[in-house]
Amino acid sequence: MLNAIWVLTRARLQILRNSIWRGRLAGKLGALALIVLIAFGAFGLYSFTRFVVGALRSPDFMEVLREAAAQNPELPSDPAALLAAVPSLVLLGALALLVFSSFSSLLSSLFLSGDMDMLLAAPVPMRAVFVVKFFGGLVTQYLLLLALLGPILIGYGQGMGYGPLYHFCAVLALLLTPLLPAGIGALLVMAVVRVLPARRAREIVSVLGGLIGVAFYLLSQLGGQFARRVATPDSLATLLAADLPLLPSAWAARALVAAGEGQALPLLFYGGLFLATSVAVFAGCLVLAERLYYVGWSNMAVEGGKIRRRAADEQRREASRGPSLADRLLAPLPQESRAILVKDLRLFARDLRNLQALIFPVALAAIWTYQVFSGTGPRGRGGDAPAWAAQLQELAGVGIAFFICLSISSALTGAGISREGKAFWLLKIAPISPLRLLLGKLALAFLPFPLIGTLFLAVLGVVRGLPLPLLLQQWALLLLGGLGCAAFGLALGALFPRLQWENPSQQTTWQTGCLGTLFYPLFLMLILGLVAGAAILGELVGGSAAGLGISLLGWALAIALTAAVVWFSLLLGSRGLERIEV
Amino acid sequence: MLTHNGVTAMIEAIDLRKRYGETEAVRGVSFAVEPGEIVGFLGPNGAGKTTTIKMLIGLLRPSAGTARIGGHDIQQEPLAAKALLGYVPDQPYLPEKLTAREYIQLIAGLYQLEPRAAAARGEELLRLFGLEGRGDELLGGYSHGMRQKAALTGALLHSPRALFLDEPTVGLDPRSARLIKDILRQEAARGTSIFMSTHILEIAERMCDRVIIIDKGAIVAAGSLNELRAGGDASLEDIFLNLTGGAEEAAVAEALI
Repeated sequence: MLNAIWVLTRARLQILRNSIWRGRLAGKLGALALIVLIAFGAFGLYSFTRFVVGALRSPDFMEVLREAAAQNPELPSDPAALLAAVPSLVLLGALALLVFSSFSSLLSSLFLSGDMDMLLAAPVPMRAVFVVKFFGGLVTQYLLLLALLGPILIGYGQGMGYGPLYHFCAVLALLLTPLLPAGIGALLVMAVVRVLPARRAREIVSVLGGLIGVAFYLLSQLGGQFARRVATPDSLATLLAADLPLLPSAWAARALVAAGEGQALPLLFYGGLFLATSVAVFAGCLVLAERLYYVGWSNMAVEGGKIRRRAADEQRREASRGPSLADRLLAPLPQESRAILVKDLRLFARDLRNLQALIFPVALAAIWTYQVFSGTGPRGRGGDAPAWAAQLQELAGVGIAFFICLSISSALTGAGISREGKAFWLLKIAPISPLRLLLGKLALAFLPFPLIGTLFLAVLGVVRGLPLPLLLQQWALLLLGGLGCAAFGLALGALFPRLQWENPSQQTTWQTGCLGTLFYPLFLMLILGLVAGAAILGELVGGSAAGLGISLLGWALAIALTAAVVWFSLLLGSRGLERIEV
Repeated sequence: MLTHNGVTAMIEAIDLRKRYGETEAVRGVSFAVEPGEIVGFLGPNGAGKTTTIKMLIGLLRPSAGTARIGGHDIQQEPLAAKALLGYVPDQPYLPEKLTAREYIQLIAGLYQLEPRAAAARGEELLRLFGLEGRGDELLGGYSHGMRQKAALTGALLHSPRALFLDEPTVGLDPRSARLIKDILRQEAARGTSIFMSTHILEIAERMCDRVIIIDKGAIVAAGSLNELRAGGDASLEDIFLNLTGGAEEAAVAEALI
């Protein structure tokens, strides 16, 4: 088995070496920049932890704390117990995140890698394959631990003034920490794959990951309100609960603290307990892997597709009824463009990974809507401001609507043409002009602006009592901005396509991302400048007819600019499409 | 352009070339296929078969030369040319999250077919390929053979005048392979030009009216089997191996055994 593990590991290292040495220069530079960034981040974490821990232990702080405790008896006068619980808290967080993240990465590594056919057909022990895939799936976790947890633990040790034994144990803890959660994760993966198709499980995990991300974001947004209620002396005692002796993270943490304090017995006891548990769980995985891994993988090979059966009478009804409202609304689009739009909408709704991209903008929309609706409006507090300034303040609503619609549009269309992936050949050989192809994609990308944007602005207008002319102006601005950005984003997608992707998040190229980031604010500022600038100028001129004329001229210029951007984008996109070779 | 029989060609390749950096994958390929003709495109791995087919149908832009379908240059009049052709790739990547019936709807939309007529023809093709019971199943759950049949359904939906197939029978069971061969013969009988690459010489021998052999990006032989035999009784395999330098390798393999 050891020889097989060595052979497989060597192959992985060779693949890594080849992808680095034979990769493109841009990729190498990007990787280098990322490494430098991570190194800076890690150093920052280390310095911060060391400084904070050192400051908390300083005599000056102790004195301040004693004075505070004298005035408020609920406050602790000595932070030593809390400081000793810090490694427990950090390791508990790391273990909790590792259980989830290792599930996701082990699912990909154990069941969704392209070399499984070859490995299972070769006379290689299943356990060797499992070991290599297991640690291969944990590479990211180890890198994250080294970049995030490592600096915190080392900084903590330095701040506490611990010696070499602590640092040696900290490195050992870093190496051992993923074994337990990843072992549990691997067992869960092998169990889940027996019930659910691996790809479906990955989609569900992606959605859950998105929800966790949103939960963190919500916490950070509402943290200000939350912290006021939670930041009490009682909460400090709750933090000590992380050091519960039943938790494996507490064993590792107590062993670390014991190593730092030079206490041999607790070090051996807790360290031994953590080591034995981690190794036992990993060994249990190895024992079960022989059977579970193979059975799980074999199940995948015989999975059928999801059957979307429709009752015969439903099909008959569908065939007999006339065109629906959606059909009528889409009627102005050419048939080919409509077919692409319908297909994209169907595919979007059926891939949970696409829906995951919707979670964040929807959550953001909810938060911002709440903040906008619950906040006191500028109309209430800006009584002395001139009308144009009040109008500018009201633009916050349209800005939020724009951001939400743009996020949903990006989730719907991805990087435009790249969303087609390997099935792009179908569109390429079809007798459809690049312009009509782009039209179908543009309809999809623009869809959220008239649908969701209109609804959002209407509700906002009613709740805040905005006058109809102002509301109409905001709506027109939203549609103009949306149309221009959707068209330009589509052109970028066609100019810099990436059709070979497995994960939808890999569709976007760096050129698309960078140029889009530069263009969107520039374009929005231009149309906003034209409209708002003309309105301000009109008010300064004073005359009602002249002012109205200047204001209308601003709108005309904004419309012309948007039309030019759309035309230019479609032209660029068409050129890009013609260039694509499959 | 007229074919060797003096008929107007449905598929024409005129001095097609494709260069990737320093490598010339296709070097001046020219041929013509007339309506109703089945032409087999043979060659060793990496000879340039798929590249040539992709240039003929517009998936790749030729570095030089012209590809015409029904007299329309695929680069100059792509829509007119593409409306006449159907294509089944060797690895049919289809939208995995569409059902076969929704896939037919998509193709009908792309080729601007009347929806009801297209649905009826789609059902007919699904029945022909034995997929009518699984037409509401996502394509992602289909086996390779079923995907191949679904791709063929899409390719035949608009009744193309020129049908291109890249290794159409690879991975198919004998019954499905036979079915596809029968359908191709029927299509040819209706006047559709069929141009297919294959490694299975038996198929080329039994199905094709003419065979074109390509090696290292250039055509090394073209003609009917009788023309290739030139009065002798060599099999297509012998001819193929002699022309593509495989005879020496076969001798080495024999010596090793």
